[in-house]
Amino acid sequence: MLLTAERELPPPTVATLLEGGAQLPKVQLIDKMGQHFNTPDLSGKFSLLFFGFTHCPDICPLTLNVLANMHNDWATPTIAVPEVVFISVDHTRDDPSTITNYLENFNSTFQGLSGSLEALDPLLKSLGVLVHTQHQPGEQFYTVTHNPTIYVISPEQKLIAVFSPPHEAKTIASDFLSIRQHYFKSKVGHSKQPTS
Amino acid sequence: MRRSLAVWAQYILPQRLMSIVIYHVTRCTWPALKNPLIKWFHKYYRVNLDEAQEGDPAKYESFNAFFTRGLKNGARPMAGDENTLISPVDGYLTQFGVAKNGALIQAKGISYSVKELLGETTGLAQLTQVSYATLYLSPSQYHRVHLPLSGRVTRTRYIPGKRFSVNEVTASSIQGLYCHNERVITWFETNVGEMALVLVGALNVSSISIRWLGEIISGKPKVWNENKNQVQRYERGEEIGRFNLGSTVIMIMPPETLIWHSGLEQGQKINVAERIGTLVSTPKQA
Repeated sequence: MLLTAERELPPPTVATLLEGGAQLPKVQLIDKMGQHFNTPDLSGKFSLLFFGFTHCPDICPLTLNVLANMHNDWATPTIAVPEVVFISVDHTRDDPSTITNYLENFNSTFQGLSGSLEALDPLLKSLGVLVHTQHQPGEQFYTVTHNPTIYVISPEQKLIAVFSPPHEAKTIASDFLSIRQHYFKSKVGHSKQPTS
Repeated sequence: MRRSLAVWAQYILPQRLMSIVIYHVTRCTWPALKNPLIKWFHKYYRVNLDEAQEGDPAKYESFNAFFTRGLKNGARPMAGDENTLISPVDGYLTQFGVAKNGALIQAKGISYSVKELLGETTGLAQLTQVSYATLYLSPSQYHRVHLPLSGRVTRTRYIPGKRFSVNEVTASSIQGLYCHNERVITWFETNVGEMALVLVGALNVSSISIRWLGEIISGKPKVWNENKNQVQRYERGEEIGRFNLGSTVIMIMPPETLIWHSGLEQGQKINVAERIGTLVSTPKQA
């Protein structure tokens, strides 16, 4: 059975597992190529979702840098590295080409999505992401306050775990492996047990 | 020095002509020719005939019949159940794992593109990460290819090419080796998504045989699409093809569809129907 297929890993040290997981609602967004992207496009792989905006001065670049390091230093050749999905909550300034150029600074394989706050709303609500746009009086520049959380999404588009800051590349990698194993174990537990 | 000469020699040998000659010699049924050849091969490569259906080398009607010999019933007991991914061949597991950035590892420091190997840019070829295993068959081994998990044939593609040897020395020397070589790729629709099985030809291999297409004769690139009136489904462990001389099989699947068996080691010897992974069903890629 599955337990014999992989060495048992300790539980995650930083991430919080969400037993059973929560199905993501269907939302239609735009990917970094300017194409429609629906939640089911996340199927078949694990994803790490992170919300932010390209004008962000601190949390976004720091977190994306950590995730880029996690990708580059991935040391488990038998397991796929989770896909990093950056979702912009600043649709006005972040068009697909801006997002593409921005992500090039970190890792060009990262997916970048955007959508109006109305389009994003069901997703933000279901994950508990708070977004607050702050305009400074008399200034064109504005900032967007958002959660620094990283959301772990299963191949069935369920939220299965969350990482709260501070984020660290090595811990995200090792905790992800535990989360993934836990997910597959619980799946096998619910279906027919394969014999070994 | 010996190493580079052996590799270099493969560039200048008239491969097509050699293949034609070898094709006829290996199919020859004349005992005065085939018996000494089989005898030499049997001894030189220490072929184990104890597990073969026919234990007497002289009883094979040609060298090719000997080379593609069948095994006794029960010689390769099937591991696990339908959720167990099994080895498709008797061979050496030269590489396995998850490939990043659409590139498979050929040998240390050498990688090649999944798109080039498969000769297309959609489906599995467009995924940035794929699960894969590369298995090398040495000349003495059993040369029939079996299905690692049950599935329905969706299409088969033949890509012509050179026929370099695929042994370890060559694999660590020629860039993109498996993409230079003649190969036959079959795509299967399985319970966990699409799987591509690539049969790579090797030096001297005059052909690859596919169970439902017969012997594939070298020539122009070709694709056989699924015949909707005649669905071909094969079960895990069923024979699906033969190599008519040593070669390599590459198995490609989407990521997160299987967990590699923790006991596997790169380069280890493995037999048909032994466990290589456990399948985890996830919905197909949207």
